[in-house]
Amino acid sequence: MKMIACLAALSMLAGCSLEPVQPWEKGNLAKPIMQFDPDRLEARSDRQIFQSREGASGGYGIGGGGCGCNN
Amino acid sequence: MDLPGTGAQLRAPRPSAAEVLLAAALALPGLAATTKAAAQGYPDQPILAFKNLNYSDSQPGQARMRLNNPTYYLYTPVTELFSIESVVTRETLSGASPLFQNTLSGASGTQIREHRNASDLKLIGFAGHSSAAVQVARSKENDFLSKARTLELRIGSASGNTTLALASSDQHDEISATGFPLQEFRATRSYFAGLTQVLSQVSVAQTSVTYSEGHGFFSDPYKALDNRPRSRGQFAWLTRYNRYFTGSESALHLDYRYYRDNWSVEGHTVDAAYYFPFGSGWTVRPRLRYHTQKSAYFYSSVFPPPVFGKFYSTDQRLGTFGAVDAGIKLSRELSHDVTIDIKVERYVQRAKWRLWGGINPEMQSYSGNIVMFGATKKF
Repeated sequence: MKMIACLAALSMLAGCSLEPVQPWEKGNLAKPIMQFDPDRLEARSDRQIFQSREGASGGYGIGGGGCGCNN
Repeated sequence: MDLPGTGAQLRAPRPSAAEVLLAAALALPGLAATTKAAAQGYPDQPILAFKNLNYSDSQPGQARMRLNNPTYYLYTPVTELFSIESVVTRETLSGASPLFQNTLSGASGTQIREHRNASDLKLIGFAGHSSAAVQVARSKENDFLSKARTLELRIGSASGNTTLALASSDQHDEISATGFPLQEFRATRSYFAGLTQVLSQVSVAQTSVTYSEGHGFFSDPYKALDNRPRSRGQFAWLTRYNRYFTGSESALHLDYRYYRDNWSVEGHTVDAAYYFPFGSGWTVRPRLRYHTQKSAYFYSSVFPPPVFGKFYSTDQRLGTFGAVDAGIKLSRELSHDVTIDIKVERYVQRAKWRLWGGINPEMQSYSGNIVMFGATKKF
């Protein structure tokens, strides 16, 4: 619940204090290198490698089947 | 599930002024159905991609596992309001697993070779500034079968500057063993909430939390005396920040993740990548990642356990260590719609790189080499 409250607070803070960026000002944000995961397959592969080598995992989203390598 | 990019994933890699104006016009509500996908962080055109991963790891004086993993990705709009996304992969694993990690071969010295076939299918529907998606996934190995289904909702603001993502997932695993009878199960339910916010014309941030709760069999069936709790609650909080540099047309990505679970594993992960376009269609991306974690409360480097009947594991992944991953990726646009890429990374775990103290400072170091190449075609 604390996390949800933090997210809500962050959302309100962002909405209140940031100058809204107009659609015609998003040219640079639109570039593939500005996407959070410009290469989806690479991101997926990275997460599986690290997840099967470390005790910590998650955060990047959910979904997809499990793997015996994480057992 | 990947988080959206706040409606920015609209166009070709280097938009001209005319393209930017066109994209801005398309971003106006109702002018183009394709922007409904883009506004939710999905591609607005069909994509076919291939990647091949080669991974090999080692411990001092001995090679361990080798993994070869070709993966295929397809994304295609079906109608103006629906799209399909699918990933199919076949993984081949061979060699001997790391000592104290999985003793399928580590204890016996026997080499293994096994396959994993996995696929998932996602159907995405778009409406206004929002989208809803259903995903089903399946992964099959000789001794492991996993099925999962995920529901996802993304709600975008009218301005396209803020997106809220919510998701819930159910996963059911069937665990057996090669060479002796075992039939166990594990059920995991996960929840996800994320917020993406455009901060300025050159920066965007994202924060998300994930909580997973699993019940069932978590022990390693191949490791003698491995005895883990039959439930695990995992929490992760990820914050990401992307910054574009107009002068060099480059971009910096910074990620930080905090992790904690009820086995007392606690971790911090920092990941930094810098995308630098150069020449005619080339992009180079150096990357550095650091991870440190504190061990599970039942982890031990002593075998056999001093006391029997209690939770116990010598799995290296549940120990205390620090890990560094460093590498470089090179990609080249062969044409407007075709990109090829290759990356090389090295991953090293050492007990002395841990951020704080803990059990097993004498843990063996462990390293892995990652080589990945691929191609992407947009239609």
